[in-house]
Amino acid sequence: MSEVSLSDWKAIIHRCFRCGYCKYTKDFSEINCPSYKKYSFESYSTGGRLWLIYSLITDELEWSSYGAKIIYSCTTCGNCIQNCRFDKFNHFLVDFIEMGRREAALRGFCPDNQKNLLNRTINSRFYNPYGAMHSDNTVLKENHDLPDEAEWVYFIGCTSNYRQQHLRDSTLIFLKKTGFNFTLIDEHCCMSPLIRTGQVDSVKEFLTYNIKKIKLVGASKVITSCAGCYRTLKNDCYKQGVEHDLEIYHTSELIARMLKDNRLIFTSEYKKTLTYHDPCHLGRHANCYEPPREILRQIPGVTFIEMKRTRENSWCCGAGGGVKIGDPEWALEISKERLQEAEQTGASLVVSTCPFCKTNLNDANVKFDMKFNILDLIELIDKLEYAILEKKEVKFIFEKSNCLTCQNIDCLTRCQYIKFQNIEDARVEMNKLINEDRDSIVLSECIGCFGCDEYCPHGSHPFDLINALQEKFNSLQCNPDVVQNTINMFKPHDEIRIKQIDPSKPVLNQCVFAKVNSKEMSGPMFDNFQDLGGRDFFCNLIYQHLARPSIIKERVPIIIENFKKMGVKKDTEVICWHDECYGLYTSYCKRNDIEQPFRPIHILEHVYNYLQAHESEISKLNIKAAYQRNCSNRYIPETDKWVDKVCELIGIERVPRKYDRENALCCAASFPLKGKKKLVRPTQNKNVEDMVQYGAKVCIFNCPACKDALERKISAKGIKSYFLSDLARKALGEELKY
Amino acid sequence: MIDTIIIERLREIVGVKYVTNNKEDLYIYTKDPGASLPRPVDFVVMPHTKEEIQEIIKLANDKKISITPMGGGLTLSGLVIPIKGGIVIDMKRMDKILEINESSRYVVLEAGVTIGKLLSYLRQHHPQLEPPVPDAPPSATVAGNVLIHGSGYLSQRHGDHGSMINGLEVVLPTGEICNLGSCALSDYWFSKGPLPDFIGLFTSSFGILGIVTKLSIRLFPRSKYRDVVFGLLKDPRDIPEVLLEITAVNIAEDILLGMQDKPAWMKGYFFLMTYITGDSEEDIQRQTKILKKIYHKNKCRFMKVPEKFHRSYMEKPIFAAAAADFRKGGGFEYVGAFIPLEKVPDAYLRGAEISRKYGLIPTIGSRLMSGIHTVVVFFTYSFNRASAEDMATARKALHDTNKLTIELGGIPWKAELDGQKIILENLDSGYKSLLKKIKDTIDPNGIMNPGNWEVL
Repeated sequence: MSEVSLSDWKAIIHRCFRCGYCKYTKDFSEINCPSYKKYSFESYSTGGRLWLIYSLITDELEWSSYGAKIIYSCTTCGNCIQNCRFDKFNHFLVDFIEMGRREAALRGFCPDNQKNLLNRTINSRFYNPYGAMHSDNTVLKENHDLPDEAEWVYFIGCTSNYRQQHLRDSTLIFLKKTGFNFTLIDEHCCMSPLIRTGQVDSVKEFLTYNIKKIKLVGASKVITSCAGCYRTLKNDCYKQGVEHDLEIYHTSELIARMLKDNRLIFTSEYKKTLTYHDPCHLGRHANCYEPPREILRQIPGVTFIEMKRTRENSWCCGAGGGVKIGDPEWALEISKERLQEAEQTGASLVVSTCPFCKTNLNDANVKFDMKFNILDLIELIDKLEYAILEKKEVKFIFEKSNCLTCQNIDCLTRCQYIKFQNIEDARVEMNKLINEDRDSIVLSECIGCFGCDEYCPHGSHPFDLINALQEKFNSLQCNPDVVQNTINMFKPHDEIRIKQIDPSKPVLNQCVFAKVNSKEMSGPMFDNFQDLGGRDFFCNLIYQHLARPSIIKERVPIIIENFKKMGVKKDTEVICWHDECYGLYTSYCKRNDIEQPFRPIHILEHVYNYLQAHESEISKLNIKAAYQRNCSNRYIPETDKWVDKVCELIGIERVPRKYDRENALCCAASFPLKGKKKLVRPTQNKNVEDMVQYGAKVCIFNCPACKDALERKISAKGIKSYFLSDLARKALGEELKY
Repeated sequence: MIDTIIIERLREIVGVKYVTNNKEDLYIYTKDPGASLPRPVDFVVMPHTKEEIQEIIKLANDKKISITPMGGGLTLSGLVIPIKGGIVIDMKRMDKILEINESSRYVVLEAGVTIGKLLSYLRQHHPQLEPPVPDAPPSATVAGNVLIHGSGYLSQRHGDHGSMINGLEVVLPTGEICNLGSCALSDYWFSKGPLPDFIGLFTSSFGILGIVTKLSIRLFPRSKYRDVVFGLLKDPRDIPEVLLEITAVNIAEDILLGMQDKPAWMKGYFFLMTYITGDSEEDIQRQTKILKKIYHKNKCRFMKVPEKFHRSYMEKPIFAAAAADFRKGGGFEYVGAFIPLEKVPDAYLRGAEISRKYGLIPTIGSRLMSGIHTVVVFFTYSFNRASAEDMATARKALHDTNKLTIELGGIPWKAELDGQKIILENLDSGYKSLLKKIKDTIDPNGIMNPGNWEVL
């Protein structure tokens, strides 16, 4: 994690030990640094380059054209960042090289070809590095009937606007069709080419100009179809001293989100074998690997095959870092290597998500007669038919009127723990709850499984009402010492130690399970995540079990603030280990009018995506398993599909037992806390017998508390207990260490 | 003028792309991450074949210019920074893995193959086999490691990595090529002998007697299960006894020791890490129980460690280079002292005194080798490469530690120039005389990495 600032780069750069991890793929199988592969001398590795820059800024060596050549012979692809082991400063490695280029440019050693980028960009006839006549996008706006003010701005980018217009037009068509409230601005270059080549004099001015223009049309969100613009607007602005509060999205992120929310569905087939090239700007520099893949996998008819080097290990296209203009022949050689790798997949189509990658890959395709079709993802989507579906609005706030008029009172009649004679009995109790009558039997008998929330067809969240009344009337009579101890145990610290995370990379929120369940969170599936866990990042929903929702209300803002203090941003992906955490950020926050602080990812969604990415390594387990669906999952029933998807991928048959899905039984771990010890044994027995009856050989969990509560009992019946994520690891050939 | 002739000839031999005398390229070859002062390099050349190396050697003899072969350049003790300028032969283009013999468990490879490449290749194609892995980064070469008597993974069970050499192909300083080991009379590179053992001439001699171009090393079966059991000792005098007991039950794959004064919770403790392997989880549990008993009996507390810590010790290679950032300065060197077991307590106590004398944080580690017959103790010194003063302090500490090693009856490993000088001052005169005779005979023009092991 960062404990140093880029402004101190001259005082940090010598910390490179030049150990050489930066040269290779993660498994060391191949040299993955384009310049080291071409030139081979140590000076052309990242370490060599940093040592050289250090010698130049300390006057140990004199600046020269050849020294500049070494510094500029780097595509800034970021492979070094991914593999360098010094995590105190490894995220700065490419920045160091760009800083070295600044120093070179200051002294007049920026190579001539790269200087052209500057000359053209700052020329008011162009404002782009291609030297094309500037377009203020008025005509495009008129042609597409775009408003003067909108929530979104489509920032086209120079390559799309002046070189890859088909890509631009495909994006415009998609955004129009899908009903985005967007417009265009009179944009100038995003300045990525100049930041990469160390020519930064005008960068701040251009960035400020673009942001001002975006704000002027009333937009708060920006969509880009260019990976370079995306990275610059998202990551480089603050490095250049230009702060903004705009939300930046790449087209692939938006489309993937729409697919996930069932707002978009592809209705035509595309019967081709294709592969995907990760742009360095989008992948390694912005950690956006999955959205394009999620989209490709959902296109009917597509056979999607990964290349040997993908994601963090991708081989660069060769165009970046000023190499395309500085050494065009070499840039094509690098692309040729990428296309040769694509050939091995048998694909006829190479898809990417960056107009500059597309340009260079295509140039190599033509030059070396490789016979590929090369498309940007948005151009591929433009070839498809798709339908836009209405977004389902879900009510999250407890809504009394729904309950007064509810026909079936599912929340109570379907309760597995309180039995009502008939619907009228249930209605009486419902009215008591609505009228806050402390004598309602629901308040004392409720075991807190949240089933009522799931059963309610109106999305009214009756458990919120029940739980608030339980606290108000102390209906559960929990042992006060236990309650107080628990309240103290998970209290966030008054002050926390700041451990800045990189907001563009995913974070694993291990809740408070990190220490007790460390072995379940290990292995490649969970490696390399930034982690935030412990009581300062604890979801606190445990207090629902103790009928103390006020503690949650009090602490959640603190927890959210703690995430922010660590640098977590709205679009930071936070993988939530536990359903309760995911439920807090996706359900609780929404229904309590708390702004969702980041992008929560359910643990099993992550597991599924990881498995998809490693599908070829999966050995099916071929076992029958009972799933112990935990109560917290009832807040987020939409995530139950991930259990099915993971099971299907790794060869688990989720037995269709009685106590699964909406009929899941609580593990009973919290019953004693609520004075319901007598209910523990019958509930657990019922549950375990059900597993046996349906022939389960293993029981799968997604909650450590459930596993702890049931493991011994299950084991006595010859059924083994596993976390589903661990079975996924097992299917991938990992040895489980417990 | 002479430079122009040499560079032209070098270009003819290996191709224009693979020769440089640009000062910006040479710079990184003039120093390493250790504390040695930079020393000039005139040319760097990257040959692809042994024949090209023969030609380079002929040129060097002709022009009386020095040659220094280089693998990954990670000895830290400046062994591949030329002492007398000349040509650095960067071996990285000779990077072919030529043969894996699963039956006799060896690999034949070119001298530029990195540890990372071999590890990755075996994982992919021969997952049942493991190579010896030093505690160096994956860019270190296999040849570089074994030729300096490296140590690391499997050293406890099978000895130092130099002892795992089955055969060498060497280009001598005269340009002749010779095969050593069973490959001298067989197609199988399976064994060092029984022949007069000349392989020893090329280990820990730092390239003064020839350039190894091809080699065979032993491979070992990969265990199904592997774990590390941590222990904690308060008194270094308890170390030998616990190690003797562990090695007596013959279950340890590797054994590491370590102490450091920072972070504060580590201060005052000596950490013991015993690696075990087995066929099943039960096997591992059984061995863990045995170790716990031995630990308990010998005042060594069994220690449960956080998973991250555990994971870092299970890595291959272990990321030992992390120490380079202890002083936020990218510099790191150590004296690796081969010493007898009974001197380990003294080594820790007196090593820590040296660190404290120079205002450094005592950070000492060690590995057992060949059962218990040798312990290599690493007296490590991290420093700030940006500070000349800090580097000078590290050199002084290294100097004192080399002396301490000799006092303890040990031998400094892959010693830097100063360390070599201290060894030579104390070395048997007959040994020195023999070394000089061999050197003068094999390398009459003194072209091979001159200045190292220099017996005047």
